Amino acid sequence: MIEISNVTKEYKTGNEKVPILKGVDLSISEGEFVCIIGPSGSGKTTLLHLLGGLDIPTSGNIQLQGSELSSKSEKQRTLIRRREIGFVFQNYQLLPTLTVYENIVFPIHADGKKVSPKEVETLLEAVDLKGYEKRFPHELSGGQQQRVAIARALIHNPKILLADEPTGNLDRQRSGDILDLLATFHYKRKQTIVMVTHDMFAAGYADRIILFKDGVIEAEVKREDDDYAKFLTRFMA
Amino acid sequence: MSVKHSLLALLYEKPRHGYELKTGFEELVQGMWPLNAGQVYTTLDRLERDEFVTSPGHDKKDRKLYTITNAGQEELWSWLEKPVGRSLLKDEFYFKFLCASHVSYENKQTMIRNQKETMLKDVLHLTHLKKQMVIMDNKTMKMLIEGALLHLEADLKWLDMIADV
Amino acid sequence: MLSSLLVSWRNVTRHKKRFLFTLIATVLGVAVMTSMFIAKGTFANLMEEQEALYAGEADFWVQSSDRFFSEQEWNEVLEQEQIDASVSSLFVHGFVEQESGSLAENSVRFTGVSNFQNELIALPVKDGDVTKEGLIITENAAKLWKKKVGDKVTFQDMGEMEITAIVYEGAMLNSPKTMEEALYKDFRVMVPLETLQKWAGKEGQISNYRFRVKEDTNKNELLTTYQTGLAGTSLFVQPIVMDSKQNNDVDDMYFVFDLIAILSIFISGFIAFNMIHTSILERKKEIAIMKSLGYTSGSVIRLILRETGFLAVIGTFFGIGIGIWLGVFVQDILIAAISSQEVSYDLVLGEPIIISIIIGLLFPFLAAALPLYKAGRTPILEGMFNKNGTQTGFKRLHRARIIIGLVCTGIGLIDNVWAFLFLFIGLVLLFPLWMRIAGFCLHPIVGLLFRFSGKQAIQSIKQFENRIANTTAMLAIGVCLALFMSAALEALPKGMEKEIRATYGGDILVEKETPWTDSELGSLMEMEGVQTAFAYKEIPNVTWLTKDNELREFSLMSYSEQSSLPFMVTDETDQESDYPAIYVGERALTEWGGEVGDVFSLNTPAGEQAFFVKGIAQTTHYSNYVGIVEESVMSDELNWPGRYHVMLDVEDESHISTVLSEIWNQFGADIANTDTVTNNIEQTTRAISGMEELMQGLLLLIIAISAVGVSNTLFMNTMERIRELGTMRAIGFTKGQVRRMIVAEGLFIGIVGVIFGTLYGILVIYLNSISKDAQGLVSFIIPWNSFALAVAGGIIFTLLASWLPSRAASRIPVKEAINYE
Repeated sequence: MIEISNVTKEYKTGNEKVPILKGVDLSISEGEFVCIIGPSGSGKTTLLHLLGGLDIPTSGNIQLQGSELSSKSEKQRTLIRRREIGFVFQNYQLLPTLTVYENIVFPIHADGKKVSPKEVETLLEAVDLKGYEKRFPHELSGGQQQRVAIARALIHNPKILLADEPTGNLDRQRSGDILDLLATFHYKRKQTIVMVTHDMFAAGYADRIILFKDGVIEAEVKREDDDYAKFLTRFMA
Repeated sequence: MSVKHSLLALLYEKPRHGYELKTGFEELVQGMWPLNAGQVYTTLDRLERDEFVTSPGHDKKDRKLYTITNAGQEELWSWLEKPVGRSLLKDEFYFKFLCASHVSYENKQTMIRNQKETMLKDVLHLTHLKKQMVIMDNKTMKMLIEGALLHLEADLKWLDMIADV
Repeated sequence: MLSSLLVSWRNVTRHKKRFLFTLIATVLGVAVMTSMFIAKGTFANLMEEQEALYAGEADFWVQSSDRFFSEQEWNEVLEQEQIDASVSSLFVHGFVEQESGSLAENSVRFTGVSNFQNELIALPVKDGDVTKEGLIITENAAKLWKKKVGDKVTFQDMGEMEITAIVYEGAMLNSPKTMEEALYKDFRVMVPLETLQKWAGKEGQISNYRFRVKEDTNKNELLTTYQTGLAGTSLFVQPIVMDSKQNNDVDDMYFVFDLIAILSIFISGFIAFNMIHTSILERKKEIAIMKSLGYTSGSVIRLILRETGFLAVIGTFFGIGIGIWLGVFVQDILIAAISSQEVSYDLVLGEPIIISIIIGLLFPFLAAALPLYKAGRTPILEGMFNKNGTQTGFKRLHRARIIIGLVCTGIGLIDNVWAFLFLFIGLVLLFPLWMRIAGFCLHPIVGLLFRFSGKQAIQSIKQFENRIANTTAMLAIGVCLALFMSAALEALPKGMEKEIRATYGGDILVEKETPWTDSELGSLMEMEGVQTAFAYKEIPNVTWLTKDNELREFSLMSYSEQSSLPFMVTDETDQESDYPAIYVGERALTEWGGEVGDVFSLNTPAGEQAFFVKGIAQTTHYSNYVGIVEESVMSDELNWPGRYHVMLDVEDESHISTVLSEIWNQFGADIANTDTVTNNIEQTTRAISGMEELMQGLLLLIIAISAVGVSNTLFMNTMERIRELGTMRAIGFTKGQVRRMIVAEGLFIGIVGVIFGTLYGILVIYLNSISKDAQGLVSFIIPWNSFALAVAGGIIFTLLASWLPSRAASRIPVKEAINYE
């Protein structure tokens, strides 16, 4: 599904080149729920952006469903993004001038396709936002906004869902709701989910947890592994 | 805890025989509390003695059936109504911490770390369980896990707190 | 202070592009304004200078109703001890000896001057020595005659003389530029008085005597003394007055210049307003934090004022610089259009630059006033914790704005030259409403053309409604004005031609050195093609005082029962008076400050004389700066017996040239001047078409300033939505879609601007066509060419203007944009 091999990424700050990713190898199989954790600045968000084609790696390869992402043009990457990938962000990133409904169907419209009203209805029901279609983002609570964002990320039924700290701005209960929602969709739609988080409680939802540190994968653990908890305690304490 | 009352709750639902009660209980707690048959029968005997349950006879396979009595129902209601207090020293780790401080236990940090590890393990376990409950749409159990997770969160914070002292 | 300036500078340059665009708009606005003021000032000064050069440094002059008088006669009255300097002149016509050319083409007007070293006549020397007695010609004459200093020129039946100096064209001496022009224009040359008297057989005769009195002399007393002394003779004395209004009607041009200056600064002001307003909105949170830390409203205002100051100072500095250059450019075109000669001029910079600096420094602050008021009032808590204050959909239209807008529009419909400025203010105020109406029809089209990008563009238009409305209103005003000007320039020549034909009074005008006799008139009538010929009187240099006590002068023309009227009466009173009646040209009436029915006192050859203003006259002659009285009044009351002017009607305009050459053949030596209605029309319309390109260029500049505003607005819209744009890109908008979205916004601005610019343009053209002030000179026409040009120009300009912002928007790095605060 996703093959990342020897990916590096550097950013220029002034004249200085700052390496963010220093050679990452990672393979994610279809339907897997992977969680990336690590201290801030460790490169986990950068990797997510690379996976979403928002940026291209300085070196190395990223393959999505067998095709190389970094060799694609900006436009092709955008097209892949709006057809194959759903994005959920920490700060929701809803478009303030669009209604809940308009926000959700944006990726479909951007693709010039027709929206199936039934699909939207199902989705709205699933995220428990029926009756909110005509509201504007600022009229919603944080949790509701993130639910809209999730609906928007899923409207085109993408193969991959990328979530960047989806619960970062929410309290325990609301982040629980959001994660439950993701879990439900994961179960029902068998999407591949890559989630960046620093929240232990969120990490528990994943099949596999990958720890980033200083731009490399420090360790990873599967849920079946015996030392799952020990591993986490070591890094998250 | 009260196996006694959970059996009353199960019997309130419908008359059952001993084995049914055992499976019913395990289903209720999602298999997280294995109950052996002996425990079921001793509890049933005690309930029968207190006249909270009574037996209308045996089923076709000659298994003794139990039903709840009026007194049993009242006992169940009054149990449900009664609030549960929280004792400071009921948590064993609290007590351990108290004693460890009393004897100036050298490996207090290790003790705390081990406890934390266990708790994190619980968190991951419960999270995973919760995910399954969500998928299975078991709302009551989900809420229980939610509560446990909140406790764990608080405990973890507290462990961080005492580890720093 | 220095550090706070530094902080302000940092704030200003935080958004470099926005600041740059606003600065460009400011610079252009100030530049156009400065150039208009400079052109106006320089031109006015030039006319005054020309007049002054002609008048010289003299205070009074003496002339005769017989045209010539003997020096002797005058010397008897003259009181020498009061005179500081004086010069006698004689005007005589003659012909230069040329191998080719008709009499008319070779006609020369000599000015014989008694003293070449006098201080009263100043000549702009090009070559040679003007103080040396000899022949002085102008540069045009030298070119056409192919002569240089030291060459000799021969004049028919007179003699020859050596050229001692060649001067630039000026008021005193000037010559036609081409031989075609020479048909209607004399070569004016200067020769010593005595020689000319001998050549012309006018020994002891002069045309006028100019003098300057000593400083301590009471001029009014002196005038009265001489008027009494000369009473009953043909001689009369007049103070010398500098009044160029007879020769040029430039008021309308000044008006247009003022208008363009006001508009350019108005548009720049709005662009500055948009920027400052946005900058304050953006920094609401910052301002709230500052206030929470103890900044008073006053300190906040000072902070913003300093930032505005940068804009004002830099914009004015560069604007003035470019404005001076532009002013010279405009001035050159103007002189080429209006004057047939190359006239050297001095740039008038002082006053225009001071005014421009004051306005240039002030208007950004005016533009900042409203945003400042808001900034000072930013509530701390709301500002610090605002939910990004995003507006959703349309806000309710501001009712007060609409009402004031309607009132202004109502005032704008009043028939007054300045009233339509209110129409424009109304346009700006009502524009959000117009935009909604237009949006109602245009949104589906934009949606159809740009698909989903178009729909997002409409969202953004709704979001930034006020800013976009302001910007579009500026474009609309530019388009409106461009259309109006084109219509005016297209219709004006026709209207002028109509008016000239209606008020010229005939086809050919001939002025002679001696009065027309009845037999001469008879022979004129017998000429082939001539229908009628009638002589009339004209008294030059009649002076009068305005209501503000300024001395002015014009000419008096006569009318009689037999002659056709060389004027139209536009307003007349039924009242009668004991004073003789006078019809006053409208411009003179305005200058004087009186009304129909008032009594108007004039200094005539017969001394001071009161007239009853019977009505307002409209005539082509003397640019309508003239008085018209009955012929009998001239002879009976004004001591003016001679009729030197004759107006001819020909059967057909094609006869004009043959009749004209016949006249030259018969009366050649005596002819002082000829003019024809066709020549008049041609000159007037040529001046207008000469201005046409200039005006169109200036209007294009105004539309360009509006286009800068469009760019700036789109930039601001983009920058404010940087996070949204990042999100859109992240969830699947391609770069192309983002680009198309911004271009769609620009296109919407362009289309709406053009639509309402056109509608308002047509309204203004219509208002002007029914305006009494415009006297029906501008008929209602829609200039289709300009219309097409405005439509294409407006849309192309805005598309160009949206190109940069659209590129900038599509290049926003998604990753940074998502986390952009």
